[in-house]
Amino acid sequence: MECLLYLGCMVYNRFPDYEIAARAVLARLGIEARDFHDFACCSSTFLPSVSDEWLYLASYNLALAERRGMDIVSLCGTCTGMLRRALRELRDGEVRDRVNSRLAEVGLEVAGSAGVAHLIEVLIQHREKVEREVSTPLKLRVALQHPCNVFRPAELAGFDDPWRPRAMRELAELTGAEVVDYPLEYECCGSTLLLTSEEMGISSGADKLLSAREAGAQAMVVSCGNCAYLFDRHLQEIRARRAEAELPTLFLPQLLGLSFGISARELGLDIRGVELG
Amino acid sequence: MGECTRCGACVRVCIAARRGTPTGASVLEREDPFTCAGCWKCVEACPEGVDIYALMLEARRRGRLPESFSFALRNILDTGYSMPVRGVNAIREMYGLPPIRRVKPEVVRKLLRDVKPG
Ligand code: SF4
Ligand code: SF4
Repeated sequence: MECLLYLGCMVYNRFPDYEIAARAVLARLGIEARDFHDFACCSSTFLPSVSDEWLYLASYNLALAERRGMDIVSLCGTCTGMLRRALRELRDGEVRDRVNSRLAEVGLEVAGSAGVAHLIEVLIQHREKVEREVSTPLKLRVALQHPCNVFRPAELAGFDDPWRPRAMRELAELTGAEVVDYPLEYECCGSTLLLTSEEMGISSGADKLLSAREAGAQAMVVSCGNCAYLFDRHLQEIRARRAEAELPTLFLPQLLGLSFGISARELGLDIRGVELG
Repeated sequence: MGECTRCGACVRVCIAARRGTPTGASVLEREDPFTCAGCWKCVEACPEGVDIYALMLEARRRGRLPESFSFALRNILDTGYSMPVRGVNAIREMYGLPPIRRVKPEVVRKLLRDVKPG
């Protein structure tokens, strides 16, 4: 089985270790992650905030996947949400015609037939295989950050519970790690607030990390570049605010990969200098 | 699509409201439609099925674009990506990742003819 790995701007730009670990774990499950050449931004929060043309760029990505005959596996919440949103828009024949007349200018056509799934969704669909691959049960206490746009709006997500999603927890528990309950578990990370208010983003990150740490977590497990952008790339600012809010960020496939017996190096853990202790 | 009854259910679950964004009776009444985490709890919580997402975008299109949005939009129009991507393939190579061929800028220009980056 193969899929097209949609990196999105954030992971392409900043988190090679997430991609490395995702590829390694998918390979163990017998899924080959193919390179998504020529991909573009999903349109994110930016394009829809100014123009209906967001749908052309999102659909462009879908058209590329259709041409290659593969489904898309995405790594971030918002990318997943926007590509799914585009798929839903394309169900309307008139909209599809309008999109196609623009895509024709770049030699493409879209039907809306390629699937879009976030990595979590793919992993949970292969949970038996995941379970079989666990060879080194982890002795680690972790907290989870559930990526909002993978689960909400529920109408677009089509799986799991929009308020208390279970998929990540099920996967993390398969690794042997202890998943702590912490009061702010089902809160949004708040990373996107950084766009207009550094203060709100950082305070949100600090509260979450602190809440997880007080519950005994040794790492925050994320499955979205945007969450990692706050927890990892802004850790210094977070700690300047709340010195105790110190917690390393692990990507979900890094957690799974470790339990599969894949080396820390092969999971890219040295790239951000993640130390678990 | 439902009509807003100003019941406040969306505001009660809103992380931006909780962090101090002045918000009226509904998240759609706030002054600054850009200060939003995009968590869509409001959409999930609304008992009337108001299309909060669409209305939020409308409010944004009427409003003044924050600099962070302009920056990302300029990047998208220049390169097809919301963040600077120069040198990324060289870094990927360092980590043993395959280079990813990037979208051609002229493709982006054809797809996004009307987008103004503010
Ligand atoms: S999507 Fe924005 S407005 Fe809605 S609940 Fe989340 S932060 Fe608030
Ligand atoms: S939850 Fe829906 S009906 Fe209630 S205030 Fe918000 S948008 Fe209006």
